[in-house]
Amino acid sequence: MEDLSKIAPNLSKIKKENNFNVPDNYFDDFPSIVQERISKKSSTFISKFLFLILKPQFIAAFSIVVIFFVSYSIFNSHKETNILSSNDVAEYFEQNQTDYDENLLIDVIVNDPNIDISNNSDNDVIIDYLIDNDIDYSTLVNAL
Amino acid sequence: MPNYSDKELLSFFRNNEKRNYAFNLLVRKYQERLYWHIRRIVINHEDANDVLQNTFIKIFKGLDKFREDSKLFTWLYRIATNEAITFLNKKRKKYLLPIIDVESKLVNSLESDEYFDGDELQLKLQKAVLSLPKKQRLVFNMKYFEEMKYEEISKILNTSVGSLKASYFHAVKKIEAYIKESCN
Repeated sequence: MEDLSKIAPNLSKIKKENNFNVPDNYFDDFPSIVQERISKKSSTFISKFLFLILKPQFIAAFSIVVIFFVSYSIFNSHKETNILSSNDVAEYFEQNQTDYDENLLIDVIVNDPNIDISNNSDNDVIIDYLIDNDIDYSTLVNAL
Repeated sequence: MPNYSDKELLSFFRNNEKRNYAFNLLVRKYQERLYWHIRRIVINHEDANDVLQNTFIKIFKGLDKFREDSKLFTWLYRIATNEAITFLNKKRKKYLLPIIDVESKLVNSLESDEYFDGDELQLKLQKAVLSLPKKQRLVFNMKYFEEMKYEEISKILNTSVGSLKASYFHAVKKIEAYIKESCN
């Protein structure tokens, strides 16, 4: 480009200087201000992430899961209370002795697929024990 | 302050233990040059301060992805320039102003700026610069005040050297005419 004084004589007469100023210690303090903003941005990012998680739809979904688990555990604990203790069973049999006899009990055992009666060795031992000790059905019910 | 090269600063920055230290050094190394560059675009100190902070936050976020295809200095200048121009555009949208009124607002803020201490002639020069179209103003500031080479400006503004020379020539002519007219 041509000499500035030739194409812009008025401009070239103006002294080239920086007339803008900054507050005192501005450049000394600036790096720590930037660092501070960067740290805040990082924590804001975490807050935003938490906010995203805690959005109403997330809260609703989380509530449904909590309700499901609470209901499930209540239902299960209710089921447990339905399990009769051995005393209850004994008492029931005692009161309804006439309705149940040995044959009925055998029928139930034989027809229950969960009870394995193929292995007779244990049963034999029990029967032998009962005979040796002269224990009959009513004695058993009383003992229970 | 230790005088590390850009390469050293970048390698420190990529090391997690030295990351903050390296960034602090980088801010100290470039803050003044970037500040004056931004200040000439947005004029007001408070605005320049905001833009400079945003610029360094962007630099912090993007520095990991900087591939060293260009000089670090060029990349930093490009971010600063974009941030400053975005700032002015936002200002224009905020106050629903045409671009020419943004420039006249800048002139007003210059006249009342406690951090500008130029005499009447210097104020006239700044007003003349503010009367230029955006691209010409950028080129004029970078060439005339910051004394950058056309090749450097070309990389920052992504414009050919020929086009920059033409822009600068037109800018000088307009400023000369403005000063001549205001002196008569």
